[in-house]
Amino acid sequence: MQEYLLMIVAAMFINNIVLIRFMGNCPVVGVTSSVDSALGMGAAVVFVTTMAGTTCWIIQKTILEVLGIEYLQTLVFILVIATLVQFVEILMQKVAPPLYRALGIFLPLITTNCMVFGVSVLNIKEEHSFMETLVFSMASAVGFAIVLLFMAGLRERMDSAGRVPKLLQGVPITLITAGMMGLSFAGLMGLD
Amino acid sequence: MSLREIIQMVLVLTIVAAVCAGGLAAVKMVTMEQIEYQQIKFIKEPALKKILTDYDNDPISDRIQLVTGKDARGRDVSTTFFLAKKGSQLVSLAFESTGSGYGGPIGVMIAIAPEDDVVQGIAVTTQSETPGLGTKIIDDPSFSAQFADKPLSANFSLSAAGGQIQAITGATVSSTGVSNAVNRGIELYQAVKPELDL
Amino acid sequence: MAARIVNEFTKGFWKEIAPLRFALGICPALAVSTKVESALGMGFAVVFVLCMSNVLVSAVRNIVPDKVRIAVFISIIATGVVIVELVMQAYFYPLFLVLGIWIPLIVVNCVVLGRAEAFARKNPVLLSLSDGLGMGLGFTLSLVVISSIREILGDGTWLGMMVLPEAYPGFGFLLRPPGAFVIFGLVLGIMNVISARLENKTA
Repeated sequence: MQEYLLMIVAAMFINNIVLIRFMGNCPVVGVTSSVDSALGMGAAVVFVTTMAGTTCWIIQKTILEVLGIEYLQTLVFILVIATLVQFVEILMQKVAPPLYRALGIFLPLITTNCMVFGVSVLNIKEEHSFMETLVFSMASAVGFAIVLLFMAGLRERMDSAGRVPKLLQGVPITLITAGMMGLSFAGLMGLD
Repeated sequence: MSLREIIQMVLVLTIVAAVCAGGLAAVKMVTMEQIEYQQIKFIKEPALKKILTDYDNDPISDRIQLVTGKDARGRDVSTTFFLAKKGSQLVSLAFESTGSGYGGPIGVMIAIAPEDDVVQGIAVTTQSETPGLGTKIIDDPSFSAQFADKPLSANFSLSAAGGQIQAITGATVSSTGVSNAVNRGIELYQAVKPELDL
Repeated sequence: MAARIVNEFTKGFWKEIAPLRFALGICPALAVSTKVESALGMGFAVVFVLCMSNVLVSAVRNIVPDKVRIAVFISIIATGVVIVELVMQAYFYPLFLVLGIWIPLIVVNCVVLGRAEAFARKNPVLLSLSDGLGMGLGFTLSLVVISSIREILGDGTWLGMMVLPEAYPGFGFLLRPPGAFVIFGLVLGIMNVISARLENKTA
């Protein structure tokens, strides 16, 4: 149990997928102008990453490794993720229309969120078991959602304060803020 | 959506997938041998250089593969043995064995002199231990030196388990991993020695 | 025609330089920019994938039904990425170890899919090739700029050569992840100022 807790803390904060592993930066820079859309995007990503991570793990173990075609990993994983996103979109539209109205517009964006693909590959690379894959995928995605949410809150404040120098307005200040956030997350390093 | 459209879609996707997979299989075939050589060169060679001392051939080209066991699915598992020679005399035999550490499997290259059954040295090849602690199995040469120049009959377990090896302070799991790898390696060596035809 | 080819090529270096102008493909630009050497390796890998995907996407643009085009584009890009993975393992193994997971991650680089969708599927092969080459080299240029700043100020070296005096203590912050964000942000800010000045002049 303790190792899972450590893994969760590590994936969510210490090795945060966005700030330390540099994945999924595009939405952090692009979507984070309001807290509402950050919440929607975050929830959609947690859902898809967990699904994709576990599905890819199963395919790797039951198909790719059995047939000895691990080199097709990249091709297979990205197609699985693209299909999965489409499938989730259709299913959500049919089964949970309110949820679809809230998250639907974020779903197509997720295919090219490098985090979903990256987490799926990391699970294989670090030789996770199925449970570890499940925990790691979800914790990483929650770490992404936390950064997205923090960033949205900070940017709402900064925009309304209107004190950002002209030179840094928009994307530049977002990146610098991310750097500062990364510093404080790195401060948790000694925890484990 | 008309039937014609659907057929066209399926057809295009099938052709694209087939062409992609076929092309990649071809590239894989062409590069396979070279990739294997590179992996040995950059991951195994540094370890080999550390533990093999007195030889004049290229142990990487003089390597042989032997079936040494079966995996869970009943398929053969083979081990690569690197042969170090002086003149035409075989002076040592190196191969890799694994044990589990704190952050995952630890690979250990072991060199054995077949002449008098002595462990000449060991070196860690792959590991993912905690930096600064478990990584001392690589960074602290006095740890791996404990295994060197001992007969195969020596006890390579940690001193806590009644053996001759002092564990690294604060990295017992990693030390155990290395010690297990060596023990397992010696077992494997003794099992295949008759087959090696020395 | 020749003028257009040149034009599509050169736009990638300044006017539409992807990471610095549109903040596209910034993940690898942040991750592999600790050393100029790895930035160059990553850059050329992207150039290859981008050229290949642009040419192929453009070549099949009239026979692929609209509904499945994204799936086809992704397959083409992923194939290019796996080729790069295999070739790099076979001939540039140390570089492959340094770049690690970022090689397969080219498959989700927004610049690559972005060019297929926005350019190659509407333009002939030659123009697409020149667009891919320009965009890819522009991406490489961005990575080299960022990594030069990080390597010189962080380590005192450039492409592994000492450029600052031996006594330079190094600035480790720049080599760590937070430093990447700060440097990237500052470079983007400076880009904004320069281009605003230039536009004022021409206006």
